[in-house]
Order: sequence, then structure tokens, then C-alpha cells
Amino acid sequence: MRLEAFKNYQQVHIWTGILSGLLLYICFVAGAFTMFKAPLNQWALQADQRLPAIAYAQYDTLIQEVLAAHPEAAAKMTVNLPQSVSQHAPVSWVIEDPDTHATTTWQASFSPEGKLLVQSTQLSAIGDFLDDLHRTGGIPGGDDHDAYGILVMGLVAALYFVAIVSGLIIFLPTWFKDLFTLRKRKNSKRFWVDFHNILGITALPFHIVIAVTTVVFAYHDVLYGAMQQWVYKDAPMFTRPAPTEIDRDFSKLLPVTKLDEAIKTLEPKFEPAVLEYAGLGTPRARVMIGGKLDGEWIRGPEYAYWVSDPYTAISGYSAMLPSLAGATGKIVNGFFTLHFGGFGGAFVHWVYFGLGMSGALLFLTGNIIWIEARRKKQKNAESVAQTRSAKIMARLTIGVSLGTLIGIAFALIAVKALPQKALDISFWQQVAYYVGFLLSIASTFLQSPVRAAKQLLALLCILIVALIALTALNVDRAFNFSTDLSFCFIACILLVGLGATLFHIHKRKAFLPTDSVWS
Amino acid sequence: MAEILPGGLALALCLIATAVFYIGCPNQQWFAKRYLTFLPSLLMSLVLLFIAWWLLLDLMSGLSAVFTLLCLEMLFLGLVPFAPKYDAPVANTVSAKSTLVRGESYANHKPQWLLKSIGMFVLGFPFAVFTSSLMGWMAPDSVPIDIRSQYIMWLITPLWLTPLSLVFFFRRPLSVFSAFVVLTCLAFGLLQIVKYGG
Repeated sequence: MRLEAFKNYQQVHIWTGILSGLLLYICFVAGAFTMFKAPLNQWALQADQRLPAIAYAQYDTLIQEVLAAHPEAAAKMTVNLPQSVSQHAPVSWVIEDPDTHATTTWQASFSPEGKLLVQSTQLSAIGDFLDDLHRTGGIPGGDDHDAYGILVMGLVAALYFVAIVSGLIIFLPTWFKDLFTLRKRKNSKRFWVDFHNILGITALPFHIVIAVTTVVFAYHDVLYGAMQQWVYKDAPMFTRPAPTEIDRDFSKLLPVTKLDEAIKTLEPKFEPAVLEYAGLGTPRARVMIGGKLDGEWIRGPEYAYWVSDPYTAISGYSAMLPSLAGATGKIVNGFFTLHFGGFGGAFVHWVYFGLGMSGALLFLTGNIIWIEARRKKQKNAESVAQTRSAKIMARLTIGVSLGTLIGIAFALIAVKALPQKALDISFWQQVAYYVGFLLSIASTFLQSPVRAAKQLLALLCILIVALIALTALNVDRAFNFSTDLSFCFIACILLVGLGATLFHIHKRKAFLPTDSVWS
Repeated sequence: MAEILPGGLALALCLIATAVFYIGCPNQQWFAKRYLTFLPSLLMSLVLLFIAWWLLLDLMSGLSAVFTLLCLEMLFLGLVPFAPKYDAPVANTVSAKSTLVRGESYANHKPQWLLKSIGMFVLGFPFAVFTSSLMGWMAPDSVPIDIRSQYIMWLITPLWLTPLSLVFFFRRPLSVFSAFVVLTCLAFGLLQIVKYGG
């Protein structure tokens, strides 16, 4: 390789990396937790927010009674079958105020005596909040589909792709000497570069997939727009089911068992878990059925999906089912499932949690290298002035990396400790996150970064212990036991890791030069 | 319960395969002497991974099992080097010479950041759209139109970003750009032939 090309790529890697690193860190940490989105929603569910579960045979009656009493639910209604992970209520729907766009969630079930129970509710949906954080990096603004944060993260992911390729290129000339090498005693920059290389090279395919899919998730509308204008022109890109002239009375809806039979003829192992009805009573009525198909090449993070007409069970869109996707469809579904980690059930979710955390460490170490490379070394007894950019970056790196975790811990504590029925919990969980996040960053600017790091780590450990205690106090053996156990398990792993880091920093602090960027 | 046994065994085999592979690597930091060379350790770990794959078939489809093992390997290979016994590789005796050479243009080299990045960002997009459409149209006729359009859409991004990442290799960006204009026209022309002529 020519030296000038190498130096070009060093610059490319430095700039793309430093511009995207911190935002990617936030998204990777939140994304790792999003692997447990449904269980986390479940964990945060308080007893008075829950309606009784009903038997499989009662679902059709419940759907009919809800539609009769609340016809507004017909626009968009979710039915959670007994196999579903979310168990707050068998039927729920969301009403959006057309002026303020404020939404209220309603849920319904039967009492043990068979009476219809309906209540409006404030679900915390902390898992969904973490998913939003994962998709937007915490950048507020815009509505759900076109949040500004998503568009920003799309650009960041493009930088990330360039950073991956350039990182690989600058690794290549010395790869034989550097592959898997971890030199601890040479100097601190060498150690961090080795650390960064090990994580980056071993997880290279994962990072490429995440970068490409993130760009597409953010900008698919633009890409489809270009295809329509330049290639398809007037030809359609998607099939739209023709509206059929049949009686769309609610009473003509197919029973759940019939939908189950219809899908089993297409995909025998499919276990329906969630039915999302839309536009009931109109010619465009449809139902999207999500179901367990563990270990198959599925589209969603948890479920495989099939779209059908709830009155006829005629297959509308079946290419998301692994048996019917074909080679091209498998490639398309592959992009989704390789981002979501949905292809191997809970086992792969755990592996993806690990890969997400390792990715977060990759960005953190990248920032540390950037700072260490710009740190002026102290010579003799004279003190040297550090550059402003290195000082600010050192503070931001510590503030953001610990602040993200502290913010998430604040939000988790808020949903577990605050009474969800009494207040707008989805608002307060956001407040808790941003308070934790911003205060952490502020604290790194008010004192020396290494002291701030120690305090924040100690705070984080206390918060995690508090979370474990809150979970243990509210444990519900009949309902949520395994979720609570897994939650405590992850919390303990994180606690050990963070505690060890705190101990290590405490030991190392004495060796830091007094004029270092960190002290 | 029936799932834990094959899953746990596959996990253990995967970890052993990673360790075997690591021991065979020239830069391993576990032993003062390298007990395995690269090729035998690679073969052994592949055999172990194949057994793990076969065990995972109890839990998932073959395709999912391949990718599950790939992800597990990424995770384990990233973890194993962090438990070294020695502070630096001891057994690697091959002196690795850097492959970098100082070209003639080194002294008067100009990186041309803006020209290269903006130029390739703009020119790469139509190239990616037409090339991926061409690839989409070459897929068999049996592919439904929904899948074909999604397939094309997914291919655009890698085809757009890869040239953008590689353009910094070149000394004369304008010749790269002209090559891309030609390639774009070629892809566009072929697409018209496949769409209307074929």
C-alpha cells in the first residue's frame, strides 16, 4: 500500500470515527438493552395496570364485545394471544387526539365472571422507550416515523460505514503483527489501539451489517423515491390488495382459530401471538399476525409476520414467512433479522446483547485513542497545557458513556418506583433519562474528568443495586418471575463489570500525571 | 429443558473452537511455545464448529444455525484475547515487515478531501440505483414485485457507500469519476435492455 493512501485513510478513520463515535455509543448501549424490549416492558408492568388473562376460547367473544361497546377501536386494535410476551391485557387500542396528537391507550378483558372490563391506561413501555433511544440516539424532535434523530443516525451510520472500511484498511499493513495482539505494558495508547483492533476486527461483519441496515432504516423513503423516479417510473413497486366488495360487518370477522388454521397451511410451525387489526369495518380491513417461529429466518425481532384479510383469511403479503420467501426474499428478510437478531430466539438475543456491548466498547476505546494521541506528554517538571479539543473530548467521552447508562438506570428506577396509574409515566421516564444523562455530562465539566468518572461509576453501581432491590421487593412469583430473575442477572453482570472498572480507575489514579487531560 | 442440552453443548464447542483457533494464531499470548500451527488449528476449530452446527439444528434452521455460530464466534474471538498470560506475543518469530511504500507522489501529495468525498457521494448514488435495479431485474421472474423492489432498495446502500469508502485510494479522483459516469451509463443502458428488450 502506498504511504499516502495509508495516511489518507488514517485521516478518514479519525474524522469519521470521532464524529460518529459518541452517538453510536448511545445507540449501541440502548440497542443492546432493546434486545430485551418485550421482557423489559413486562418487567415494568405494575399490578394495577394489568387486566386478567382469558382463555383462548374467549377471545372471539371479547373482540366482538369490545367492537360493539367501543367502535373506535376498529381503526387499530391489538390482540395479545396467550403465547404473546406482552401480557398487560388481551385486547388494547390507541386513540389519538387529532389536534394535539396525544394518545391514550385503552385495554379490555373479561372479569372472572365474564363481564367486560375496559380501562384507559398509562403503560410505561420502557422497552419501547429504549428502542426509541436506540433509533434516535436520544435526539429529540420530529414524529415517530421521521424523527430527526433517525435521520441524523442515518447519516452517522454512513460515516460509520466509511469508518469501518477505513479502519480495516489502516489495519491491513500490520495485520500479521497485530491480529489478536494485546500489548499491555508498552504504553497506554498501544494498549487502547490493540483493544480497539481486537473488538473491531473480530466483529467486522456485524458492524458492516448494522451500518448498512441503519442507513436503510433511516432513508428507505428516499431510496424508494429514487427508484420510482428513475427506474420504475409509472410501474408499481408494491402490490396493493384490491378492495373487495363483501359484507364488512364486525360480526363477520373470522374467529381467531380460523386465522390460525389459515396460517398453519402456509407455515406449519407458526404460533400466532399478536394480531394487529386495522381498518375493521372498511374495505381496507387487514390483520397483521405476528407469531413465534423460533430458530427460523424471520422478519421481526421477536415474531414472523403474515398479513391477511380478517374477513376472508386470503393471504395479502406472505413474503415475510420463511417458507414462502424464496432466495431473494430470504436476502431481504436477512437484512432485517441480522439487525434485530431475531433468527435464533432468545439465545441469539443474548449473543446480540453481547455484540452490542462490545460495539459500545469499540466506540469508547476509539475516543480514548483519539484523546491519548492528542495528549501532550509532560516533560521534566514543567507542566504542559493540553489542547482544548482533547480536554473537551475527554470530558464528553466520560460524560456520555456513563451518562447513557445513568440515564437508562434513572428511567428504569422511575418506571419501577413511581405509581404509573397516577401520572403520565412515559413522560416521566423520558425526563428521568435526560436528567441522568445531562447531569452526568455536566458533572464532568465541573471537576476533573477522572474524579467525575469515579463518582459517576459509584452512582451507577448504587443505582443498579437499587434496581435489583426494587425488583426483588416487587417480585411477582406467579406472573413475572423469570423476567425478574433475568433482569437481576444482567444487573449483576453490569454491576461486577462497572465495579471492577471503578476499582481499576481508583488504583490507576495515583499514576496519572497531574497535568493529564484526565486529571 | 430439551433445548438446553444441545444449545449448551454447541456453546461449549464454540468456545473450545475459539480457544483452539487462538492457540494456533502466531500472536497468541497464552503459551511461551506455540503448540499448534495455524492450519491444523483452523481445521480443528472448523470441525468443532461443524459439530456445533449439527447440534444447533435441533433448535433452529440450518441458515439460522450458521449465522448464530458466526455471531457467537465474533463474540468469543473478541473476548479470548483479553485473557492473556503474557504481556505481549512471545512465540511470533516472523518479523512482520510493513507493506507500506513511499510512492513518487508522496512529497507533493494532496488529499483532495472535499472533491473526493462530495464527488463520490453524488456520483455513487445514481450508479448504485441503476446497478442494484439491474441486479434486481436479473432475479428470476418468479420473484414477486414487492420482494424485487425491496431487494433492489437494500442493495443500493452497500453499492453507494463502498465506492465512497474506497475513493481515497486514488491519486486522480477525476479519472475515477469519469469511470463511474461510464459505469452508470452502462448500468442504465443494460437496465433498459433487460426491462424492455429481453
